Amino acid sequence: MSDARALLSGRGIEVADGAYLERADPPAHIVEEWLRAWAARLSGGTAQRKGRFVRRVNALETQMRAMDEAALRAAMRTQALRLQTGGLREAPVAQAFAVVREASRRVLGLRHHDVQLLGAWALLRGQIAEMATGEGKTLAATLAVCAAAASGAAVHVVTVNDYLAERDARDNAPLYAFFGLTLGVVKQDMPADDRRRQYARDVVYVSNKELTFDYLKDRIALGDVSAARLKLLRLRGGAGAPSPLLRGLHLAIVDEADSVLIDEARTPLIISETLPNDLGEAIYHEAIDIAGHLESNVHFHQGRDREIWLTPAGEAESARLAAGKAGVWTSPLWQRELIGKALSALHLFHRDRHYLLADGKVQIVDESTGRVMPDRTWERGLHQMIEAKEGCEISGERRTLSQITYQRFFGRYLLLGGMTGTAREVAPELKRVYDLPVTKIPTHQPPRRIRLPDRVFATSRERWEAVSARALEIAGEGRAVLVGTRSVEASERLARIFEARGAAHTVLNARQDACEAETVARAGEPGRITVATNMAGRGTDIKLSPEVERAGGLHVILTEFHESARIDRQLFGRSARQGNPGSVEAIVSLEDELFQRFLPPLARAALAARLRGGSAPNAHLFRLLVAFAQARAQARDRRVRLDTLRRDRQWLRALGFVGRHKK
Amino acid sequence: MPRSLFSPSWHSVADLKPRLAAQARIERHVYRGQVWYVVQDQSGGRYHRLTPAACALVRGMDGERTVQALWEEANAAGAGDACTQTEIVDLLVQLHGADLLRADATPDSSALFERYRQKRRATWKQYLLNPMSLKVPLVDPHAFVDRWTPALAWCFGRAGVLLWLAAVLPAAILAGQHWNELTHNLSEQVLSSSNLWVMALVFPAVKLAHELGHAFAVHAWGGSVREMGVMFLVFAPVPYVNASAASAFPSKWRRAAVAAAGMLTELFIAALSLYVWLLAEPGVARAVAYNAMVVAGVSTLIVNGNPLLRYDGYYILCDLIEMPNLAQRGQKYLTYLWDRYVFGAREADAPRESPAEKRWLFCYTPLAWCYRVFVTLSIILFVSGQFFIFGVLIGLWGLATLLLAPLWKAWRHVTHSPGLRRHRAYAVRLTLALAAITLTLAFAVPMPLHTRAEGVVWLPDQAIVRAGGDGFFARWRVEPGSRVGKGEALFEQEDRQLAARIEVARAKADEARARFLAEAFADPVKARVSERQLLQEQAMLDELLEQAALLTGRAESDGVLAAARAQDLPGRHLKKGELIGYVLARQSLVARAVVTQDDIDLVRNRFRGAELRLADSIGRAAPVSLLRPPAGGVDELPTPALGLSGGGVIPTLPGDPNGVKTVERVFLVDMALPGDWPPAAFGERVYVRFDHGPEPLAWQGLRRLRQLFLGRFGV
Repeated sequence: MSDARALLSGRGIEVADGAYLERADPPAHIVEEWLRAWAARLSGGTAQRKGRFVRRVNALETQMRAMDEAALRAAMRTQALRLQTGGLREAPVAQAFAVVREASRRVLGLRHHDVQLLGAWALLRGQIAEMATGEGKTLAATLAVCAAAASGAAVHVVTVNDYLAERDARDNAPLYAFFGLTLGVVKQDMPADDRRRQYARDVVYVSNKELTFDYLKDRIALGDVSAARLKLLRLRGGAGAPSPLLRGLHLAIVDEADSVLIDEARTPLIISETLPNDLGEAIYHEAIDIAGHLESNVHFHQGRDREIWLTPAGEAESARLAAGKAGVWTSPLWQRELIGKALSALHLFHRDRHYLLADGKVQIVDESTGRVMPDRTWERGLHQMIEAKEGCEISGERRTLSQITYQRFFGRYLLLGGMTGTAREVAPELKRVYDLPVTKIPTHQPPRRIRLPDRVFATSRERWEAVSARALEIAGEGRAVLVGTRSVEASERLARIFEARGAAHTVLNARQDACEAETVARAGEPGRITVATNMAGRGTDIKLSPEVERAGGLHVILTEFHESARIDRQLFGRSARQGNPGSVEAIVSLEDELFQRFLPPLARAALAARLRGGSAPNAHLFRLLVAFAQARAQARDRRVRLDTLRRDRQWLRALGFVGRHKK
Repeated sequence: MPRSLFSPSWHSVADLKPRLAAQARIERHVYRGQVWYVVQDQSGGRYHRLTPAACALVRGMDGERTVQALWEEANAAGAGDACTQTEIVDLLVQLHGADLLRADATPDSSALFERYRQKRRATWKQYLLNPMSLKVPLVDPHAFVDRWTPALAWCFGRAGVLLWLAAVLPAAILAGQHWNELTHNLSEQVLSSSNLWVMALVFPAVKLAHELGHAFAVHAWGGSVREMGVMFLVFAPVPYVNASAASAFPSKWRRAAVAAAGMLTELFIAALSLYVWLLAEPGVARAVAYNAMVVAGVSTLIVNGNPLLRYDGYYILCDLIEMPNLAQRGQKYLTYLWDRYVFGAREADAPRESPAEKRWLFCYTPLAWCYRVFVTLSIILFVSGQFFIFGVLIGLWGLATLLLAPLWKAWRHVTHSPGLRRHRAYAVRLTLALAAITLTLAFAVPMPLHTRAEGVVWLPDQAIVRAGGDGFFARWRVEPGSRVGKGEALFEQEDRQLAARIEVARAKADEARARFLAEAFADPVKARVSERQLLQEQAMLDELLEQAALLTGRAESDGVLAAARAQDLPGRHLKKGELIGYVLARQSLVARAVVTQDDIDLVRNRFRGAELRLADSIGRAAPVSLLRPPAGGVDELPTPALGLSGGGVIPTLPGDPNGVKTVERVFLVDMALPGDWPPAAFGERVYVRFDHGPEPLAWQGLRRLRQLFLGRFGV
């Protein structure tokens, strides 16, 4: 049975009256949020490397070394009791951390560094620990996980994908086993009963998507049931009592917190079911047929942002063509809807760019990553239109069953902590939306990463030439090179150049997470050139071979600045981890999307005019311009996210009558 | 934006089994030939207008069928404009917002509480945004009104109309006959301190009758009034009732009649008061009647009857032209026009208005805005005249609500409205460009700056012949009409008293001299005293002689001597400075313009030229120059023709029989007449336009504003 007293004690949390323990949605106050964002902008602390907390844990170390295993377990139980009664106060947490540290030294052979103690302590205080890449975030989390799980709370360690969930769980399993904590891993395609079993365990490693979907499934299954009613149902014998998948939302420790809480929070998570098609397949073919008769710029206009709309002439023409057809065609509103969708299918979505045909099915391609997303479908009607256009079998329509935003979901945890290498840029937003302060954790060893001057070229072609030449040069020195590209297309282009030069290289085209990560892990061998998208194999360490380390470590080439500086920093962070040597450089072109879209044309022209052989006229000025463009891009994205959030809230307010679970 | 058939929120409501609240009523209305349905909350007084399609849907809500089923039914029915999912969701949200919806789901109690809190906040926000009309609900008059409605219902039938006409029509005629009596010194009569007490008693009583008029009208036709209270209109307490139940009346005449009932009641009271005023002897009764007439007649017609303000007149207009929410729709329509034609949002969804409606909307909104600005400005000036601090506060509030808030809203519209999504960049650029142009025009581009003044063809001071001292006119030394030279003696006055005093003084002087001569050798010490006395006497004599010399009038310039009534003068007693005649010379005529205090600074310091026109030949203008820098101010006009009562523009004191004493100080500016013009008649009116060189409009406006404040408040 779970026991979240340690998380609730003394924190004045308002708990929701539902099937399981979670926080009630707090009322949103615009002004308060705004003030919070400003507070985060003005403050923002760095944890003290040798602060009181670290001294406390260190002081216990010799005492712990002397204990035998049984004594350690007993000590953990004592501290767990203290945590339950007194909450997550500094003294018992320090004691618990000391125990876990000692256990980890014995079981895993890894002793937690001081900075990892700081990181874990930040997690338990409901903060985001910003730890530099390669500082061992996963291991740091075990401190907090063990302490909280021992006190009885259901701990969810949230990762960005199944592979990382499984890997991290596997790596730390012996430590949890030492304390008798049961460990669960939830993965895609697991049946519901398995899931329920996994979630019933003390510590659960799960990807953010799976976790949120399971929560939505619970809400659909449980409906609008109050805690008291559920208890009554269970008392009566439990026949009618639904059993949820999750035990409750107690503690979540989110790995790569910025990516989960910010980047992926742009769109709400939607759970849907497939229904048999109620309109009949003929409708779609008819619509495509009519739309095929309409002429561009006479009957419809096409906008720049992938939009299409009928002109009055187009409406008249489609009404004429649809005349005499039965069913929904009689309604002008349906006519417009169907023709509009059919036009989009014909003119806005193209095969092999926006979707693929595989096994006679239409599969959506993610434009930014180039990945095929087999489970996704387009909005109602559009998917069927495209199927009709391609002559595929028309699939049933998807019906939304429930949806939730990450902002709302993670806000319901009694305690939420996060870890990431890059949180500084989004600290105000994290504070504003989730009320999560960011604490910067110092590095264990001083970083030895060298950033070489940026190189800028006027055209993309020159850039790729320079990148390939540079990669070969460094690889020739016996070092390893990682080239980060922004898209699959770019990585393939670079691969062709390497092939033309006859250079050995590995390309990661972002398909299989597991295989991807292994390839990344091997990228540290001497003379090896790895081309990967920025996002590929994140969270994986590149282990350097001794020769490479001697030759100067891994060299990372950034080929295009991302719209978010955080992604760039993550890429750079792949070199020079844990005190290793390493160097990074950016080789970019002015034709890159970031410059095209977010630099004023005047600045771009001035820059282009003064480029000399791949070096910016003024390094500082160039960095400033990049920062400016990235800030603009980020501001735009932030607006989108806050808009989504605001609409979501307005919606919740307006829909008071549908009951809590439907929203 | 095209209406999208599907709503992303559909899943939230699809399985709901909604039902209309028990207290809701649906009435069928016709607006401009279109059928609408009005759903009304019998207890809360709120109401909602639905399209027939939406109404069919709402009628289908029986708590048995799901929203999904209702929607499918509506689609199957194949009505011309079936509802989209989005519209249905909006409809449900609206009905819920008006507490008209019951659903099978347990409502989210925290959301309900939040909604309640928000409503309270909204009330406060309204108080802050519109401190000019705070509403404080006090009582539920339902029982009282219901009790008396049967007794008064006849008022709202034919008998009532006839009675009203019988009272008001003769009164209107009588008021016309006694118009002068009624309006003579209106402001003095109304605003005198003793009268204010009477007014304070009469005003609430009349307004209470007005509100009861609304309330009884609503009840007479089956509605009910549930809220009555006090509204602070420009800080003055006025009663009000919530008569929104009338909106559900299907007949537009009845809706309009409810809105008009208050005014009709007041006019009836005004008519009765007129009879009392005419018949009663001066006294308390007459004063009360007079005040009742002013309050009930004037304030009603000017404030309540004006459709440009959101009072009774507005609602009457809305009902009669069958366009509810005229103001809001007007704003929406103008926004659409701007988006469509200025920003080029061709796909913008045109409001569904008929051409006639469009004309109304197009005209009403700008007019109402201008009128509101005018009213607010008047209130600001009036209030700040009495209480300066309040005036400033209201001024800031007016600036915020009438100018800054609309500008901010417009900017938000440009940067955030979803309708402009495709044209945002262009719209923002265009807006900024327009703003830049406006600011440049206002602050940087110099515009011609002129001031105007009226004047008369006048003589220079030296051409005027005045009496040099008090005395009887003796005789003309030169016959009037004949040519005289400068320095020539024109007439003589005689002052016997003065002559006698001269004699006395001369004798005294002689005496003093004799004494001095006598003592000069005998007693030098005494002689010194007598010498002083001699000098004193001599000075006295000289002074008197000087006065005597002034009695002989002399010409100060060459010209022809002219006097109005030359033959009447001899023997008349004249006071010093009294006008006797003129020495006329063609070249000596000047144009004398009267410049107000507001303009004199410009004329003094920014004089770039002046243009003059004669009233006789108004088509001709000629540049003229100043004869001398304008001198200090005077408070008397050269001729009554320039005063307001004489047909001019300068306000004069009403108490002055000559009509030349000005209310404010004025400045006389003399200009030479153009030499090549035919001789102008003396006293002819002239129009002068001073040119002050170009200056940006904003600075010109700021100067006037500053002067307004200086003049009004002395700050």
